[in-house]
Amino acid sequence: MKGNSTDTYTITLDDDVMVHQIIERSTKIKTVGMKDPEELLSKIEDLHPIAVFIDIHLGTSRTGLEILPNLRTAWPFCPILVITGTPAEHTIVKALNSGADDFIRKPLIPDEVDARFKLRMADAAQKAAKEVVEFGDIVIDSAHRTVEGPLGKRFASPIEINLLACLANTEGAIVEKDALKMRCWGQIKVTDNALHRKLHAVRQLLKDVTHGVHIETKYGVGFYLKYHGQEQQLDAAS
Amino acid sequence: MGAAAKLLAEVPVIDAAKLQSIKDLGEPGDADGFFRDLLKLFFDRAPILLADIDKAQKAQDALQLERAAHAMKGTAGNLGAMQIMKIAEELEQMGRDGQLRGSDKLASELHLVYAATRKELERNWL
Repeated sequence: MKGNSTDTYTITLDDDVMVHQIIERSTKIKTVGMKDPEELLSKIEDLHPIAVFIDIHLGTSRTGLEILPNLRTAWPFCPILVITGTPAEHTIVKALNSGADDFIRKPLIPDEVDARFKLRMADAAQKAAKEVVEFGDIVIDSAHRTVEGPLGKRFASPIEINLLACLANTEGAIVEKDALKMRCWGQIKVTDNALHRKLHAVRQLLKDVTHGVHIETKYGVGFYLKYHGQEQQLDAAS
Repeated sequence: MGAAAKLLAEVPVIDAAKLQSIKDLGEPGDADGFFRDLLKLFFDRAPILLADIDKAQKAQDALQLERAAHAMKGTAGNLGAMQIMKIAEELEQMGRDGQLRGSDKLASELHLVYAATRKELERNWL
């Protein structure tokens, strides 16, 4: 395609090569076309797309829905648009619940493909602008996966940083357990144990960088981030 | 009127507006060969899917019929090939429901409709 740098590309996973071509032309962004979900999964760590288009019905043993959580985990901030030729609403809802950001219907309409793509790219840009989040006396940098506070700076795993950023983004409001799982793993099938282990790791990490910010548990509801710094300062002053 | 004829009543071979929107993705006069390449992809793939549909229909394999017909519906839809889409959609539904009665006639009709669609594309769009 003309006018695009070689390192900017989308990925289109569809067993119909015509779809790759139509999406590339509609968005005017080069697309790396693939037909097999296994191929995409095997290359996932080497690929850095700006957006992903994925067909739900692939004519293979695996559906697009099944690999959505893997894509969401690998590319937490990348817009994922599912392509569906089946009008059934439950399929679309399932796709959105599995980590997709939007859907487009077949037959593809070039103007609609481009409009939805641009909309999701704009959303992603907004999210990226919030990649550095401040909460209390800590700074969470999702892009570099660091958390910095008065006691020091720590690196975090992708899931840990997502978890902390998700809690910080709500500015102290409670985040439900399933919402946290969806945001960090791209699915809600994750066990409560796995979530608690990650929360424990993040609590340890917080202790290394600050005494002021803690993760609080609202039993049966969810979790939230609390800043005790001001209370501590007042206590110290009195 | 037969089942296929009823199904196709008032359905155009090609949705011209849809196909034009795809053709417009290429350079004027198809200078970059985009549209020609796209049609070639269709002419390469459709016969394979027709064979898959025939095979599934003869084997009375509902799941394979649903998959092959779904793929045919999708690839025809790219070009606004409405009559192919319509029959493929019906076959897909038969496969999904596991009710294959009459699928042999529809599969035969699909061959005829594909031939008419190809002729229309080659004559008026290339």
